[in-house]
Amino acid sequence: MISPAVSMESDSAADTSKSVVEPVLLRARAGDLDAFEDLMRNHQRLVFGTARCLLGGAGEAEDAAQEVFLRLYQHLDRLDPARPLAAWLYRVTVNVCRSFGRWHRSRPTVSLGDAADRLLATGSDPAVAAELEQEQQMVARGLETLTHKERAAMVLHDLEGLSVRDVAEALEVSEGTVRTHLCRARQKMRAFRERWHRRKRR
Amino acid sequence: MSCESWKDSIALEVGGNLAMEEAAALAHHLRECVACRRYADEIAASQQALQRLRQRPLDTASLDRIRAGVLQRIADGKPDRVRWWRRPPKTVQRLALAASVMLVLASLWQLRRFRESAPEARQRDARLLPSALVTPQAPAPPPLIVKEIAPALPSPTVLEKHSPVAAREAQAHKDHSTPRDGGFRRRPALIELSSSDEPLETSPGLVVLSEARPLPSPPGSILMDLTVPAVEKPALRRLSDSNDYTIYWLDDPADTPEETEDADTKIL
Repeated sequence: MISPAVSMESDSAADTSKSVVEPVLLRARAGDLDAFEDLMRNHQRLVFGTARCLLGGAGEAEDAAQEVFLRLYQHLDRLDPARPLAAWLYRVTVNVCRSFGRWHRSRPTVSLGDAADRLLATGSDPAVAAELEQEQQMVARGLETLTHKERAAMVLHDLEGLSVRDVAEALEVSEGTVRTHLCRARQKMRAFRERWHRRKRR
Repeated sequence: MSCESWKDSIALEVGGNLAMEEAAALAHHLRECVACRRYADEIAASQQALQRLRQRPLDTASLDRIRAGVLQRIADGKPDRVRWWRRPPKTVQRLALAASVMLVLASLWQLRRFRESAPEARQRDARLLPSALVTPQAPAPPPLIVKEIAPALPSPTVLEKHSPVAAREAQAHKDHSTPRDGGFRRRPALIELSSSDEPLETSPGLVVLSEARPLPSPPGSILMDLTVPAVEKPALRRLSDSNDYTIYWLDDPADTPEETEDADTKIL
């Protein structure tokens, strides 16, 4: 039986609809660079984590995250402090990663640095680490088979835990379109995983 | 419903994106369909693998590099902050664009209407239109003033169209046009023709009014602002058109006809 990893819209892990005024944003807007660094620190996992899932490699994700934070700095005066900053950051991250994908056209592979991270994270068992490495290679390659919108919808909803409504806002599409993207993305990922395992068994 | 059509529902349900009733129907189908149950397991396994991707720890060194890189780029280049007044929101931009398009269309429509309108309406519209949209026109000549200094004859001769006299004239002089207006009034008079700037000439002339109505009272004076077309020979000049009457003027006093029926017809 299927057990939904994420329930319908209500309990998303990163609810971007929350309207919380960030004092640090106000200070950063006033020109306080330390406050801006705090702002980056508060949202670096959101930006970098999403960029890494969208782009695959940590190196590219670093560049993309820097670009996102530079845009944040440039648009500090235009941001509405009453609106959630996370929603804006997700949208800009998706857009920056799309332009990065266009320019670099690199394969979203898992870097050696990532593999070393996982080896450290899984303890000293090389077999477990190798299995995890292979699985994540497969997932990364599978994500590559998706369109940008499908990949973004899947990353934001299934990995970042955004609600369908928030994903729709980030991607600037309707909620029905997001559901369609999610449906297609999951079916493609399943098909890719099956092909991957068949090839592996030969 | 075939198993193929259940696949979309399975793909949505694995992420919790299916409505409760549809989820219940799917659960019922999965209890009976082995193929769909296998498909659902494969999708769930795929999703679990995806979830583990998220569990990768974030490299703190990467995060430090990101912050340091951003701050360095800000310190190096000081990227301009986009001020709200320099780049208005998209909604404002779209509204401004729509307003501009509507303004251009309205101006074009008004200009077209202006060009098609009657001269009176054109003058009225000219006050409403921006000056840049009004077609430049040649400067108007100075208005001419026709002043009847003194009537040469004690009373005008009135000829009515279809009157017995006019009919006789037309019959007698077939090669001359007959009056087309409802009637006309003519009489020799001493006319002073002047512009607003300087007097032009004073000469005896023949005043012919196309409308058979009494001359303005007192009859000795007609003052009008006229925009007169170029005054040329022959002697009979059409000085003005107004809604009320047309004034002709005979230049040469020697040609001034006598009050005869022949003269009437010859002039006209």
